[in-house]
Amino acid sequence: MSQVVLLDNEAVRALRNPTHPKHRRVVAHAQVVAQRKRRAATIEVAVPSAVRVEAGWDRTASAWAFPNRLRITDIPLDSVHANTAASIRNRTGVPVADAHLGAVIQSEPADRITVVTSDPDDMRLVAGHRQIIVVAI
Amino acid sequence: MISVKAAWQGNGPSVWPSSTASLGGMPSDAMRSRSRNCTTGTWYSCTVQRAKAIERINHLLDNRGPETSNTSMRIPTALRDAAALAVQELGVAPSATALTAAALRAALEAAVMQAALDDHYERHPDARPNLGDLAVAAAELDGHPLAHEPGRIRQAAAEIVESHPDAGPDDVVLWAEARAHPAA
Repeated sequence: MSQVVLLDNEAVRALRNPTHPKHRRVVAHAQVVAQRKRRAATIEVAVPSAVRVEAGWDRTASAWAFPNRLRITDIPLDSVHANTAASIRNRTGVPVADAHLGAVIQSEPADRITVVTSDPDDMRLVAGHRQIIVVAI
Repeated sequence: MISVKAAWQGNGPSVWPSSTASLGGMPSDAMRSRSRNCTTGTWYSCTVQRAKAIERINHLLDNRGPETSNTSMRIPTALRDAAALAVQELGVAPSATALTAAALRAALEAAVMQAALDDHYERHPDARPNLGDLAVAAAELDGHPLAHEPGRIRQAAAEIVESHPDAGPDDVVLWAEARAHPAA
């Protein structure tokens, strides 16, 4: 079974900042992913690029060195995702980053999708009919 | 400067984790090994060297270009034959080479991720999750029903380490589940 763990803006910010109140919590999720990878589980952590923009994650900036080293995959806002995200945004009025998250969720080929988020309701809203696991931080 | 070729040949700098075992949030073997090798005076250079290695490995792993190299890597004959059979009869990969490369990539990704986490824990000890934190995270990632009862999971973590100090987060969740649903 393949699994992808998606991070929202708050999760990304928490991961970057050791003084963030949710830092240890998000690090724990990253640690579990690392341990499962070592056991050859097909699991990865990913972040939609619009979320990265919203969180201010510049991969060339030294302030982001720790998240950069965790092999968190970028999911670009390509043409197909942009169309789906626009549709989600028109329908729900969520921010652009959440709309991109929704587009990623709806097109993600992984068997299991987990979203680490501070806004569980919006994630369920943008997921549409796709079954997701929501981790509220 | 880290020589990739030297490391591949087995005489490179000791920047490669000897093991990435870090169950239950305990320090990994690689970290303990590093602590032994780095004196106070060389701690800074060790840390910088290691951080550079992590970044370099990540950069190399990100490069999925078509360039390939022949290697003189020796692997056990039985392992080679098992891989060939698995490709031929089980269709696990297009070729034994692809199977080997995929396994190596997965191992390296896991190792570099753990190395980055270990470095972070060394710089920020408060960021290190304990076994209870990890077990709660594991339950949450899987959507386990007990994820909504973190207190029960933390209690299970506290109990299990007394008899099984090497228990991992999934062991704790299993134990918590067994405690939550005792046999009739």
